[in-house]
Amino acid sequence: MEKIRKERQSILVVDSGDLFFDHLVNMNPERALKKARLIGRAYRRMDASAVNVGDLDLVQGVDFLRSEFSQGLPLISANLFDPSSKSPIFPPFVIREISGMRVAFLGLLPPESAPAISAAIRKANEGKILIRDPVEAGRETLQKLRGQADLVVLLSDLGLSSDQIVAGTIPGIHFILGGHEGRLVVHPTLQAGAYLMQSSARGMYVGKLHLAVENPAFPFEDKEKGESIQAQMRNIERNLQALRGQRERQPSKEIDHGIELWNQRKAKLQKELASSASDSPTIKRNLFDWSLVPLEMPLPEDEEVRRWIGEARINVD
Amino acid sequence: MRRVLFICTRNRTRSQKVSILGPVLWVSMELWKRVTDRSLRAAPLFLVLLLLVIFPVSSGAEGKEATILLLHTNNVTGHFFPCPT
Repeated sequence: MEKIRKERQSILVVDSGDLFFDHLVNMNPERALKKARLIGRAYRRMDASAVNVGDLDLVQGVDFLRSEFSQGLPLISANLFDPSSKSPIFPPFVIREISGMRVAFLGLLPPESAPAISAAIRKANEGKILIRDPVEAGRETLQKLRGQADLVVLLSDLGLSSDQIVAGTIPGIHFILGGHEGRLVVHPTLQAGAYLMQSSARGMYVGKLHLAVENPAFPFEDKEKGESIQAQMRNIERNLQALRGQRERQPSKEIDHGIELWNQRKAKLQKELASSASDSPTIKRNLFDWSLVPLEMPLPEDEEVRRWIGEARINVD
Repeated sequence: MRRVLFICTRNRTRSQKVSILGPVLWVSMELWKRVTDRSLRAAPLFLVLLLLVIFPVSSGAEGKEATILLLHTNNVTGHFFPCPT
């Protein structure tokens, strides 16, 4: 982080949620809280611009998050509400000005009806939280944001399929930096004008989204678009081969349907590839570049954070 | 000429420098008029117009590309030690 910051000035650090705890938190809640406090401290040290609340962040109760927020961690959530005041517990969005651009980040987590909101989460937050429908809350937040920001980035803990629904139903989002499943997304997908990506899980990778913005009104295009489409087509071909083999062994209507769906997707990508090859270079667009940086062992550690971890007597995850 | 400019600008704030720019330009023009021929006096205007044709002024964000880097994490789930990838 320090190395990148020395090279460039215009950096924003963000997290999509499920930052502090995992499913095993109840095995040793005291240790989990100690670690979570250190993580909050480290993100403050990194000068994070926005941290979305994920469902797992609520496992130890919302009071822990309130305490982190009061210490300066920029937590956001557009659909996490206080049931008594009916107002958002954390800011629904933040706007950061960088390189002359106003970049808005808004955050969403799964609704109360979702299986992700487990019995443990309900119990830890009884009477303290109300999770609103993400699409409805997201749409309202986007309306509030109108005219205030040049770029809109959704930090989502909804999962890919819900992110696709959000992109399709709430216009005006440029990028959805997602999570929840912790997918390793090498090539972002485009859904109704918004690009969707995730950066793996457990701190194995950091996603790097580099934006070259000529005019925020122009559409964004992936610098590696051609390569990305071809990689997706190779994946589809692999899936098709597997399904065809399965059909030969044991034919079924479901397999036929699956093959049909993959063929449709393949045809769509072929069309996209052909149109990108014929795109005129005079069409005005902004470019972006997405990459995943593995956080490998040889990377130098932050001495200050290492000292905190040592003082907390935590040696393993 | 250089000396005049130096004396006028040293130890002044930016707004003070802007406020003295008018008189400095006026004095410069007067000096320049004395040493040049009348027929050459349109030369600076011509030069400015030529530069505007070669380097047109563009408006707002369109003329300047902004670069922004977003660093993103998700599902860290309480892990802070490097994980084998």
